[in-house]
Amino acid sequence: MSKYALKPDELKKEFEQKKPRILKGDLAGKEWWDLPVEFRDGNWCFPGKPEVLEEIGLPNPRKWAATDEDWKLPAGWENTIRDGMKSRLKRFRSFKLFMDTCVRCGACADKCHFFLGTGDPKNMPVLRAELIRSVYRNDFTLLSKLLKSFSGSRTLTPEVIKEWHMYFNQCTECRRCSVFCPMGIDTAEITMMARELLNLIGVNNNWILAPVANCNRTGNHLGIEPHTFEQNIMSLVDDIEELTGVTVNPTFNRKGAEILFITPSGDVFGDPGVYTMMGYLLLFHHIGLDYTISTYASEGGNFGMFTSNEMMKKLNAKMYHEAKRLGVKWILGGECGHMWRVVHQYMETMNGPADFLEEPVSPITGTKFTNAKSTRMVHIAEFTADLIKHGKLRLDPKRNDHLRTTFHDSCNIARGMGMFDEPRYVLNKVCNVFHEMPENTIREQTFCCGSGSGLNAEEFMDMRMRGGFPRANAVSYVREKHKVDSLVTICAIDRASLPTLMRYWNPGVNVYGLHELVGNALVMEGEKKRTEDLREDPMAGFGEGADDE
Amino acid sequence: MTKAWEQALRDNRQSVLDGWSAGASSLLSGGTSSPVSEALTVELGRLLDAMVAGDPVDEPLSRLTRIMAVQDLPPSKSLSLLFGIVPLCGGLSADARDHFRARVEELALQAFDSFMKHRETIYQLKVDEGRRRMHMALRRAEA
Ligand code: SF4
Ligand code: SF4
Repeated sequence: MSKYALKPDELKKEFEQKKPRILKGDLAGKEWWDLPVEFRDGNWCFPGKPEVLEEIGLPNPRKWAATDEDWKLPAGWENTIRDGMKSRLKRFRSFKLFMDTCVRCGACADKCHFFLGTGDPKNMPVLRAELIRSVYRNDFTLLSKLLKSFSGSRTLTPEVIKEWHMYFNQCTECRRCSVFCPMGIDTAEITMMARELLNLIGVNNNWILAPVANCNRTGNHLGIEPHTFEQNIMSLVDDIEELTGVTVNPTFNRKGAEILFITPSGDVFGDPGVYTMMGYLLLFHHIGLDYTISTYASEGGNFGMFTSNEMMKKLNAKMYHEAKRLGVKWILGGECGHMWRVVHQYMETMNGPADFLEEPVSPITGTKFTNAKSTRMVHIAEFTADLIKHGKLRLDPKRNDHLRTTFHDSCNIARGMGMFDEPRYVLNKVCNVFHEMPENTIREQTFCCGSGSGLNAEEFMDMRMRGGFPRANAVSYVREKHKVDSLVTICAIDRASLPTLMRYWNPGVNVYGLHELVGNALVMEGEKKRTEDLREDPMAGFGEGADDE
Repeated sequence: MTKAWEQALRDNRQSVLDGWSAGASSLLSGGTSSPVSEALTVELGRLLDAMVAGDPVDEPLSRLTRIMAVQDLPPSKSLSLLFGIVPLCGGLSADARDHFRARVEELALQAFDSFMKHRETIYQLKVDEGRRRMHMALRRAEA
């Protein structure tokens, strides 16, 4: 256990110690959960707009704010929550198990980046879960009826809902805590359940629901129509041509293509995601891949996952639908975090079996991706690592010599899929300078960016900077020790949120997608002399007058 | 013989720093046992050394206020941590104490500027993030 760990009895003491400072006057002598919940600028996300809720058929559309005294909960909301909980305890065995099995060992207490960044005891995973467990005990277990005060149980009040909203939105569902739990309790799944319950009574987050509504309507988070989607990619094609002299030829909605490529829409619209997209396009051209991009399944991400199981399933369904409609053999997926949690862990049971697809085989190397046998969808990092391993790519890692890199493991890829080595393998083949962050901050112990699970709202910036502090601290370590200036990642939310985190805590560190660096390093047939990377930043040693490669 | 405040701080560096950082950390909701308070201590140490050496304090002050600018505290309370060093520097003549106090006050004013700069950065980050998300749309609009 690290030096920040609290032993079980210290946990209780921690609250006792904190009480005098926080629990003053009226609150003295009350339970830990009576610590007041205070919403103020920077620590809450705007609620779902009424029109957004109406569009996707979610209950209790209204105008409200977390700072309001009265949240305008619907009549009978207590029963809605109770019934919702009852049905979920039945439907999701993991939820029931996680409610029952915590032994309060405290191993998870100091593992959450929100606890480390805020010091708020309710951000200890054990207590986060306890917020809901205490209600569960009160309402659902016989034992609690006998041992009420002992086991800590309480009734449902609007204050409890406020507290849930606060703390289940200070959990990015990153699962770091679960790595350390001897009972295998996954607090992320508890948070997912809590957010589902809150959505039943209209307590929600617009940053999550607006993309859900957009995705439901047009297929992607920003609500971009198919022609604009295609236009964006074609303008990246122009950029590629200008930079490299090579014309790449992506196709859209092409029936009979061998592979359907799906990536988060941030790669098509956002900076720096678009440079990663340029990397994919170059790669596919380099190997002559027979692929197509769908303008209907135009979003890899799935904010339904942060809303409810049903919404996740609905938004995910378009991937298989589109694969079937286009008659492809299998699906290749771009760099994303939570998209892969959905694909890897839920898609096949939710929307499968996809028996109209084939077990994925790389058309270039003949490698069978047996790990994707059930989902029929392969992660681009695995696909590229396999290409490199078989010597199918012409790479010049010197073209990334202007970057000194480190790698951020995205929570969902690392802990959700167990993928640690493939991206590192690729990175080390496409660049010459790479340094790992400290061991307890990478691979399965990686620290979240602090903005995952739909919490990268601008209005939540202060809390994001605090939640992202442990990650930023680790980057700052390699920056000081090895002059690292480039943080490479394989997640679209990271690509959106880490540049912000870096600009606050580590100015001068830029964020890159892995395949952007692949794109820089690829030596394309018929290319013109390269002097700039995909961002049009000068490469080191490739300027005017430098020797031709 | 009384000492200049610089000398007094140099002689008692560790105990002053311990006291200063304990006081500062007590303002944080995580208290003294968190990476945030650890980082705060490092920056207070750098600040202390710069003050004693008569070096520019901009850098350590900026790093210190960067931490404080995102805590759940009003600026006045955040910056009150700087004054925590005053009673810790003992054994000074009245004159030396006045000098020291004046130096800390100066520091606090400088820290205020720095704190506000970080708050402005936070607002700027919000704007820039929105622009980055709409990168392609803006590019089209600006073309
Ligand atoms: S899942 Fe991540 S954010 Fe949530 S409690 Fe665990 S460590 Fe914290
Ligand atoms: S959730 Fe797991 S690690 Fe945390 S206190 Fe409970 S049993 Fe221990």
